[in-house]
Amino acid sequence: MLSKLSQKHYIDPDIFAKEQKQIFSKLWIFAGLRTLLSEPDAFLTRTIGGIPILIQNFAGEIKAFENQCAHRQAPLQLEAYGQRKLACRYHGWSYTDDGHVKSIPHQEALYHFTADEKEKLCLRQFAIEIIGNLIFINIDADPLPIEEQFTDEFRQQLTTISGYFSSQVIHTSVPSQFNWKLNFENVLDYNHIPFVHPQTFKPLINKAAISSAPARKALPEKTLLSSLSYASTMEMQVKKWPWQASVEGFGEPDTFHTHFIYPNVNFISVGGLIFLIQQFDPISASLTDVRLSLMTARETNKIRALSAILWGYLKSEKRVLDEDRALLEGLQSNLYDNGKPSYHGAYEVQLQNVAEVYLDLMETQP
Amino acid sequence: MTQPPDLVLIGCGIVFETIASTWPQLSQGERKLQLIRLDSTDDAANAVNEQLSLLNNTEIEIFAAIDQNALNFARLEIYGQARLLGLKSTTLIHPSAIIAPDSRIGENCWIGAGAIIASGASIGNNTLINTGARIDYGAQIAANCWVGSGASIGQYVKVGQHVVIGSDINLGANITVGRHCSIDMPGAYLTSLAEGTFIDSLFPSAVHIYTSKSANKTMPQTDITAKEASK
Repeated sequence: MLSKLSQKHYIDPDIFAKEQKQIFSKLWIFAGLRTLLSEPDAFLTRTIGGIPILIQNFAGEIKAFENQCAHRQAPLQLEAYGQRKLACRYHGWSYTDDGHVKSIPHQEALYHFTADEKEKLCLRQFAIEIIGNLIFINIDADPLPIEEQFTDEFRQQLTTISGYFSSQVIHTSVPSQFNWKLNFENVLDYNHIPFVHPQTFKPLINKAAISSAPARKALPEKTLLSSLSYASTMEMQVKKWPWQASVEGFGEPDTFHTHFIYPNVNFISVGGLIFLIQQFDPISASLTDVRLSLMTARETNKIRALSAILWGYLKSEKRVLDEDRALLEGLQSNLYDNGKPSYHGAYEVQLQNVAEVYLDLMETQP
Repeated sequence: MTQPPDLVLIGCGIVFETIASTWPQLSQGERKLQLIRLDSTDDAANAVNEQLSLLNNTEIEIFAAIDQNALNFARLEIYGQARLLGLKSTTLIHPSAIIAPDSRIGENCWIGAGAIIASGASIGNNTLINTGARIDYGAQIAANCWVGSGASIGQYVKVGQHVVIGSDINLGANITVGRHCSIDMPGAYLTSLAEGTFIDSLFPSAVHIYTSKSANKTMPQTDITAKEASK
């Protein structure tokens, strides 16, 4: 079956710009980890739908604002994660927890703002939903009800598993020269594993998990957005780690958990002991930042070497990612404007579903 | 004159093999060497626990020699286990190393051939300084670190515990490297690095560990979503 997406969908800057408006500015997008915002004034920064965003803990309440000072547009917070009052480094303007200007140094001497002008100086606030330890943001003025994007069952699954996250997270971002959609399709495509990861990933998983597909059947009349985000599991030979007695793991051991979070997250867990969130952050039509956040299950006893453990696993995951990157970067560089669409088999039904919803979202009129 | 105790060298890797092969120079023929060579660094303390418990602490000293595996925690497992058993650990300095008399060097340290430890510098316990490395005036390297061959640590630099500084890395003067960092791309580093920073050729930019001290105390709510704020 021909894919509904053409090669142009992966290379065209105009289509990319439209995606930023129609998808990343309309849907709930994963923004970061609640576990790292538990302290007062703890914050994280992101760019979503082209908008710089900060998410900060204000006396226990998590809020999201545009990360631009109302004065001269300097970023209010700089680091990916940090802990600092909400104030601008440029001229010292500070803000309240509702995004209004709290104080302006030398206001009387230099600015002469009226009370009315000061009242209007405020930061744009965005909608937030926190599912377990996962923070989602929606930058639309009229946010989509989250249950239209994620079912109750899926949100409950995310809440449960993310409740097992440890408070130490190793994080990095890997610039990759391919379109973000290729990576989401790649994680849905389990059949690539034996070919792309023969030494790294394939030996760990049960052969049966990747050797059959349901018979081809007619697609439902309309694929729901909420059907694109779901959890699945498969058997995996999970190595016994010396530290695992010191954590409270999630679920059955020897299980590989995957959570596909549309549009751009693949959240996996190895044995409920290691958790990895991969997000395919769109930068341009042919450039994606693959953001990796990795943590163990919550400690029941202190693990002194936790930082070394995290670093060791992140390196392993990066080697797997590099195998995907080499393949996808080659694929991306081979695409051209009038090239043929992909031709999908029965096991790729979810790629068809993703394409259908994507096109619906892209055509929806504001 | 009392005969110095024999040495039991435990571990595997570059430093282990270097000490084993240069032992005649290091001991000047006065001490015997016993080797406990490990096949792997996994669970090292358990692997050698029985052998360590059979050693007589009045007749021998031990040296734990595992390279920088797991930010030096693998070596610490053996060194720590030996100390718990009351065994004495020693520091080994290659005869060609140059050590300022007022520098301070802890136990279970290795100072490799041609390394230079300048005046006022200090090296914490269980830290390995490899061939040709240079530690400048007043630099402080904490316990459980690794300084690779040819690396240089500028004057007054402070290096936290469990740090790996790879070969041919130059740390500029007066900077601080927080604990649990690994710098493994040759080059000059002139600014401080926060705790939990990793620089490695496998990654195009620095990797960071972030921690929230109270995160485990604040469990997520049990209902499916907690709406915290909306426009």
